[in-house]
Amino acid sequence: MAWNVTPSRDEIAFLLEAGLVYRDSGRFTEARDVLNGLRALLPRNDSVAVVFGTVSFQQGDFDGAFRHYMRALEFNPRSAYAYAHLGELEIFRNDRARAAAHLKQAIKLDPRGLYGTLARRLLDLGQGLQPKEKAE
Amino acid sequence: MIKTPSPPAGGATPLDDVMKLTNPSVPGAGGIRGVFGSILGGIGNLVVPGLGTVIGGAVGGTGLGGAMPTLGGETTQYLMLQRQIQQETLAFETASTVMKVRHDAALHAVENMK
Repeated sequence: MAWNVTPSRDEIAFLLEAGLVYRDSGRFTEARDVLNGLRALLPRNDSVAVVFGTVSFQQGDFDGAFRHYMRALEFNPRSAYAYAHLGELEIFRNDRARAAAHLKQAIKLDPRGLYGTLARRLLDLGQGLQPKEKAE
Repeated sequence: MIKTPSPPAGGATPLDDVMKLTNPSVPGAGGIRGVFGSILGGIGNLVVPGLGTVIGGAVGGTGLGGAMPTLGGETTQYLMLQRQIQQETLAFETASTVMKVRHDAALHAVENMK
């Protein structure tokens, strides 16, 4: 059956926000349902893919999150949002070098925006941590 | 029903390392601090896996190294405690700043859709 739905931009934004609210309240199934609907409407949107990734990340599924972030970069190779979250993921995977590379790329792509700010803060956090190999 | 996500397999996260800078952890912190620690820990885990453990530990008292009951009159112990509190405050502020900016970035993504 062919789609015949043309949502407004406000409706699209509302759906993404609903997905974020579900995610942040720990209702991951509902978050995925909403985001799946959004993905059907915008199949190659990098922000939708990034938010999908953050849902996996918050569930502790780091490999799933990585796949979503990489897909986001496939859709938009200049997505600072995707690079920032990829850096966050690598911090949690204890790969500080890769994290720094992704975060610096996010800062380069969005030096004055919020994604760049997020990357800078994460970079500060990552640099403040003890390197894992020395701690063990 | 609100589900609390569990930390990733393997237990410790890098944010745990933030707290490790400060604490010889001692089991047995309880009372009201323990209760608040559990609550804040649960909230933290909703946002970032593993973060709740860090916040819960800090507020629950394990981050203080159990020094509180044995302070006695020793000035050095007060100073050590003060230093630990400062380090925990710093860890708390760093995590809190990241969480705020993370939220702002998500809202920015929503705005960009309009």
